[in-house]
Amino acid sequence: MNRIAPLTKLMATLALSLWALLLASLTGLGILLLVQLLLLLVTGTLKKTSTALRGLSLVALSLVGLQYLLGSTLEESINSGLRMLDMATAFIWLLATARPQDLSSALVQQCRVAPEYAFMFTTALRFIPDFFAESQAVQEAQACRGYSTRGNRLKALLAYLAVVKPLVLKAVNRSETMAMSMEMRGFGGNGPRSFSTSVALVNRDYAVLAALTSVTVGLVLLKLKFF
Amino acid sequence: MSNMDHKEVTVIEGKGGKFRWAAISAMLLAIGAILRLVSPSIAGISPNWIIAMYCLAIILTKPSLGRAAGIGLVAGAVCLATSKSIFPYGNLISETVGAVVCAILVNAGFNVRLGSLNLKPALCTMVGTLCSGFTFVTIAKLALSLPDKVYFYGMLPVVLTVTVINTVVAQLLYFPAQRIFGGETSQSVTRQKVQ
Repeated sequence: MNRIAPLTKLMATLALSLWALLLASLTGLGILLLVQLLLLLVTGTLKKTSTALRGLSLVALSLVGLQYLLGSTLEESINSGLRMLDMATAFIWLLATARPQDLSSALVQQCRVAPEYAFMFTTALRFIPDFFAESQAVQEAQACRGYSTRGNRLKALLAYLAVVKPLVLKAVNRSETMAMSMEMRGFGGNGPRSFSTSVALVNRDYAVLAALTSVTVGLVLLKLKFF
Repeated sequence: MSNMDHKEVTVIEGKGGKFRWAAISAMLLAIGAILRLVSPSIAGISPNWIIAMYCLAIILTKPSLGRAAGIGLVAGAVCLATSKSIFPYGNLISETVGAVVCAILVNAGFNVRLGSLNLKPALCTMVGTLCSGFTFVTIAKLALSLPDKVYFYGMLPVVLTVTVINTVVAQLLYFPAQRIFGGETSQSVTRQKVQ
């Protein structure tokens, strides 16, 4: 399952989300969630994604609670929460099983997305751990100088502003070097573009795409029949 | 030729060239993403720092509308990857709308000043966040078939609160960031006399 091409995974994610929109019953949405959890288990990414799944479950629960408190029936509320969880889990599976650079390659080579935007997406994801480490370093430096972020939630939020400023200024500074490096390495040149990874579709991808299309068409027909 | 002869040397200091808009947007989106993940939520409202960051990138780089739409799409994809929202795919459309509206205001030839203080960054971010937020909650309402009460009493107050936070953040960050970004010039040329 991990060996399928990034484009196929992207299509599978879109298909799973579409199925979540097409399914209307609690049972259907529940089964879809179970299938996705099974997919995460089979691809060996369930443990890695458990924190994200827990966070999403809390958001889904708050959505269910809010909707119920504002007058919806319990079934409608759970339905919305499950639908949201189904769509978000599909994307978590995609990110857990496909590398950002492979997704970018697929978007540029197969979906004809401009390389600048694929670069931005990959770079943004690539720099998240770096800036996370830097934000912790900034917080520690501020704590050493006696700056306290303790207090209520509002104070904690305002304290983040003191972390954001040095991060943003560093990023602006760093962007100059990065942009110069891009030009010096020929990014945006007119010559033929080369890619470090192959993202071409093979037979198993076509089989998965055919299966996805069949299920989608079946669900659309069922929806039309019962509409 | 004596040792005291002077030569004029032209020093070209690069300011990042033609891809600086992409580099700075990517970095600011990364910062927005981690802040979105780690910042605490108040009464269930978690500020979307990604909107503030792409608005800041647009205000600094003044891109064309097409390029701004691209920045918005990438911001939506980053939101998808760091999703804390009820309908993740809505971000792809809402962030594109927000970025385009912000770029329209940035490129419009007007200034908003309070004395000597330029308030255009705050205005662009405020309108961009409002457009993005309203688009997102409306798409989420339609896609998840949420009732009107949830839309009016649960979602719209979140949009307004996030707008206030983003407006303040963008205005506070604009001036120091602009100073480092170095204005609109892509290159600065200085002439120095050397011995």
